[in-house]
Amino acid sequence: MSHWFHRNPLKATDPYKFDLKGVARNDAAGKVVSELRLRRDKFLRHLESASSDLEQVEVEFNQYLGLFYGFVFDPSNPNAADSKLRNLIRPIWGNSMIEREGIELSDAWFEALNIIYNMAIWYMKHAAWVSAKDEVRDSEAKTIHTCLRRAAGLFDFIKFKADVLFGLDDFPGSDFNVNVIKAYLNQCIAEAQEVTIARAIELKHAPSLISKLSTETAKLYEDSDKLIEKFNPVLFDRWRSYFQLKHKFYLAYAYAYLGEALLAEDKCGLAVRCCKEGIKCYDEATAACTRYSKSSGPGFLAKPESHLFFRRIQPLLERNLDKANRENSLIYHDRVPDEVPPLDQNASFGLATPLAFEYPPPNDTWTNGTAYVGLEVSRASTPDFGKAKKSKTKLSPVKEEKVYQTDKDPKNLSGCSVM
Amino acid sequence: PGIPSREPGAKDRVTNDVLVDEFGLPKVPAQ
Repeated sequence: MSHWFHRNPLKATDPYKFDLKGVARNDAAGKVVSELRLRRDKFLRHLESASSDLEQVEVEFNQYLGLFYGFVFDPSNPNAADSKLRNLIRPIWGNSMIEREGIELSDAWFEALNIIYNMAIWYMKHAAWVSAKDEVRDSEAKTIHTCLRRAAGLFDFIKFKADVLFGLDDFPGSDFNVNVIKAYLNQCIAEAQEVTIARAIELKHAPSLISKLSTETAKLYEDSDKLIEKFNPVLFDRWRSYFQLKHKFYLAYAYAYLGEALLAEDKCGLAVRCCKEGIKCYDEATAACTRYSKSSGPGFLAKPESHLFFRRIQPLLERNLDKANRENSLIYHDRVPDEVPPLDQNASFGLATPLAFEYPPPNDTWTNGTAYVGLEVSRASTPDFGKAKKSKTKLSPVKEEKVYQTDKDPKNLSGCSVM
Repeated sequence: PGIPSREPGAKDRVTNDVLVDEFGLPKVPAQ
């Protein structure tokens, strides 16, 4: 599904040196500090390409968080109590939607949650990269689906933990605004369901199942649009337009397949009305695509209108409408109602759920206690317990590699590359 | 019977008393 998914930029950050020489009082503590700097740089560099090896990125992500464990949790406490080191470091992080303006906060959770955030955005980018290959096979469809569910799980974790960060509400549209987190979470779930819808079409599942799943997906996009409607339109317009076009597009699918289901039940009048509504939604989706392509805001533009999965819905709706009209005029003579038949939202199958994320276990360095004891907070300059502040450092956007996206049409039923 | 799931190695799960594949779709389509 080349150019099908809109993607926001990765979060920018300043290289963080973990300069804790005066605090690290033994070899184990010194080793943790120097290794953290190296692993952070290495992990963040790998995120710059959506095509980086999935397994390797996951290993580095877990290794970094495992090594960072002692800054977030007290490794000697079995109940994962707060670490004495929590306020010792002060990283600078940007936001995916407000790229250059950095925020500083002396809180290890600020570092950990930003790393997790970037991993979630990378999962979304990796899923888009896999989907943009010339041929996407069954195992790759599964990878896309899993990556999006994992990203959703990370956003769910961030949503749960974001309250521990102090003062981020002062930055409208920041990544830790609960509405922004929910918008990302919804997007991941909706896009995972898109994969399932394409698969359901390929495997010729019941039209009512496809219609219900499309309705649920459209609803998720509609909700996401509402979640970010109050933020600065100069920055958020493009992301909102993407949600709007996907909302209308999946409504068109929902009506197309509801029409087909009604036709199969010989309810031709209702089927005609459904198909007409579907064509209206398709026209609105097309108009939304034009708005999206001209909209302002960060992110990599998708080109959904040129994709076969998008283009196939119009002939499908017209074919169903012609059939329903023909059968109605010849056999059933049903009245075509003015009111649109309601879409059923209660999908029983194919709904995607987040894959739960848990903070990785501590690295071995922490478990014997030497490194934790060797980091003496009393030797640090007074930790800053204040709230988040705008940084004076202007961050450079992450240099993300451009990745290949096919322009070939898929050769299958759904027009989506899930084979 | 319809088209079988293309994931013979996938673990079986049951949703609403129906065997489903890893995507949560019925193993046997057209339910």
